[in-house]
Amino acid sequence: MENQPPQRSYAFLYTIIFLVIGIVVGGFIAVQIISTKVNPRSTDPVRASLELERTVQSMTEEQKELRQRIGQLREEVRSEEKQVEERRTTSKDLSAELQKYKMIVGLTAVAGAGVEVTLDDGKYEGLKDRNDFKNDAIIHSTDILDTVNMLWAAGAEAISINDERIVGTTSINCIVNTILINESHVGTPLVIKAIGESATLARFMEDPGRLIDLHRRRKDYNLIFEVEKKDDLRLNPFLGTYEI
Amino acid sequence: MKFDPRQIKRPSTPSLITFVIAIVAGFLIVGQLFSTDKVKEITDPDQQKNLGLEVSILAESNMSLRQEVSKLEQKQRDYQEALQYRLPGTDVLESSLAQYQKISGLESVSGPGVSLVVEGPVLDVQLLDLLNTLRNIGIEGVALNDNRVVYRSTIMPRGLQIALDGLILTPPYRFDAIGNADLLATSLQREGGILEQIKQVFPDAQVTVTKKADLTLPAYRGDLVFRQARAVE
Repeated sequence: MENQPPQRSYAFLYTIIFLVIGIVVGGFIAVQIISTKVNPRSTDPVRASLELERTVQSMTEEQKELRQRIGQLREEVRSEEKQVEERRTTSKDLSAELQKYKMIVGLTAVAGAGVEVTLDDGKYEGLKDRNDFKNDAIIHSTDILDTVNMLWAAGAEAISINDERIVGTTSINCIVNTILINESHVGTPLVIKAIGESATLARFMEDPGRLIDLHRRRKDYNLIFEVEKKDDLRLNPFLGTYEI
Repeated sequence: MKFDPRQIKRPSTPSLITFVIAIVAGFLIVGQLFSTDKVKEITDPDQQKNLGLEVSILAESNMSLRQEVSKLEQKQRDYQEALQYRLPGTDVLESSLAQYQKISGLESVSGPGVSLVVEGPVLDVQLLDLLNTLRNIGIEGVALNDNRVVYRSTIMPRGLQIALDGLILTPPYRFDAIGNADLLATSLQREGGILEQIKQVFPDAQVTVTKKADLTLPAYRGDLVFRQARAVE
């Protein structure tokens, strides 16, 4: 054994090294190709799903653009409306009524004191019952609905969620992991801004006798449910449509 | 044994062949793992169903938004005309006001829609969910037991009873909603929908949906006052 030529052991070493490097490099190439080239052929079963995904993306983009356009048009209309109102031909009552109703239907940006409520999914670490945990540690559309309902009960005058203004036709829904408010995607964390008497709003939110389920899940599952009083909140106007 | 780099020979042919085979094997293993997971995720029927649902919601939403853009452009033209030709413009302002009054709930409104009656046991949160569902399908106005629902209306428990805006309601609970009657009736009664969910919780609950050619909703009896909120330009 002592007389074995060293070249032979080097050859074996080469084989092992190349084997390992080969597998790693091959893997990298595969990852690269798969991640950059998703180009299914017409017979590929994933094609329909990918097209649906692309449709959702492009329609979401179109929705964003349309809402921006609506915001811009409403501002322009407001400016022209003001010019018409300022002429002596329009009664002051009519102008005042118009502004009053625009504020009620959420077409005016509003500001004032209130509270900011943050809702988000809990953290998974250190919790034993995972099945139970999954459902209880996640924010559902019904949690948002209950919080908004409670804020109105506490005397809120205007509410927005992640800049989506809550109006008379607003619905809050969930499609699997996506929350839709005013038919727009809303991501987490959910920041609910409510204008009203801040002490009362905060008291209603922090009262363990109200929103009982949210309080329980905050304690047991680290669900994010935070309430903060604010001196001056600003809520954007509603950018959707009214079906009239 | 001392390491002497000069003693290192060029890799043998079998080593190079092993190298090439290893690259191919690595490629195939990773490729297989990735594609199996990806295909499984993408072709999951639930995922496809949800995407389809999202597309239909977005299509409807975008159509309404485009209509709103057209309406606003028309309104803009009306104001510009009034300004250019020195017309009073009062008619444009009045028509805007009439529209806002209808939306606000402070005026009585009429139109086709549905009556949804819940008899028997029901929870306050289920009525809240029903209201949310009606809003989701699309309504122009809604009343509960002849009380107009507005944007800041609340449905809360009051002991064993249910109150709308602090007013205790006497069962049965009846939502009158103005909107597309066919769409409202079909959507409410679809399989696995909210009415079925109520029946699952309370098998004794009776829920009926009736299409109505002409419903009249009363005006909201309260006052929508702003004490803290102020309009900002």
